[in-house]
Amino acid sequence: MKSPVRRLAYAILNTVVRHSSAESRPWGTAMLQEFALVKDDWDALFWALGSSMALCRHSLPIQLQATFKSVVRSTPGILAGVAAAVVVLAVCVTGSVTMLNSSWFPSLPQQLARLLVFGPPEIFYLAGVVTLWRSRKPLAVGILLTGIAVMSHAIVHFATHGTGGHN
Amino acid sequence: MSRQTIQLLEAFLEAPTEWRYGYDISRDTGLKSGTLYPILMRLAGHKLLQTCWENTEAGRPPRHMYRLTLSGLRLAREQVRAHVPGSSRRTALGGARMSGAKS
Repeated sequence: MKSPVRRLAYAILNTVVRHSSAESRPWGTAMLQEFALVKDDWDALFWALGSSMALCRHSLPIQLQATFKSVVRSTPGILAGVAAAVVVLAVCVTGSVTMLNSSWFPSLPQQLARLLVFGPPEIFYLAGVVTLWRSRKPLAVGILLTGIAVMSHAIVHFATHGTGGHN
Repeated sequence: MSRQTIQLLEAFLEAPTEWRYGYDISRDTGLKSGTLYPILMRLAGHKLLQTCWENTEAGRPPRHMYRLTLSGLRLAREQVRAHVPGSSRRTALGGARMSGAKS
């Protein structure tokens, strides 16, 4: 029956090994195999803690570098997504405002008019994100970020301007 | 080179051709895992240390084994010699005798 100290020690080291980089994992596996040979439970805990620290120091720079490279690679795609979303927003807002101000369009309550301005771009954003998520994730992320920004602006606008009269 | 690294290299020099296990090295040198493994990783990264997994019978997980490479052995001998207490004084005084004389 393994003591709670030994079980804790094993859990700590095993968790660190599982989350380490691919380059560090063979070392982590080696540390885990040696762990089984440490007889004293408290020595086993210190072995696990020391090994975990060593593995983190080895693995973190590799993982951070990989994350940084991934962000650098994704940035042009994200910016392209933001740009595309801004163009869609400009087209939709221009179209909605023109339509609302035209003589043939019926007069609407202000809240509904605002919804007509902000609603269509958000629908396009949602469709774009869902369509592009698997194939062009950075682009989808750019669109999503813009959609969130526009939605937040709309919510703040509605909250601060309250219910208004007709447009 | 740190004192702990020299300690580790001395341990390897005791049996230069033998493969050693991590926990055995730790027990022999007194180096804890948090000190031992970074040194082993650094030596392996500089191609001064060979690593391999032992062949075991089915059911038993293999252990990682370590041994200095030829470059590692060369470096180890240099470093251990340089760090032996009084070696610099002996070299200065006995340099002439050591440098070419054959007994």
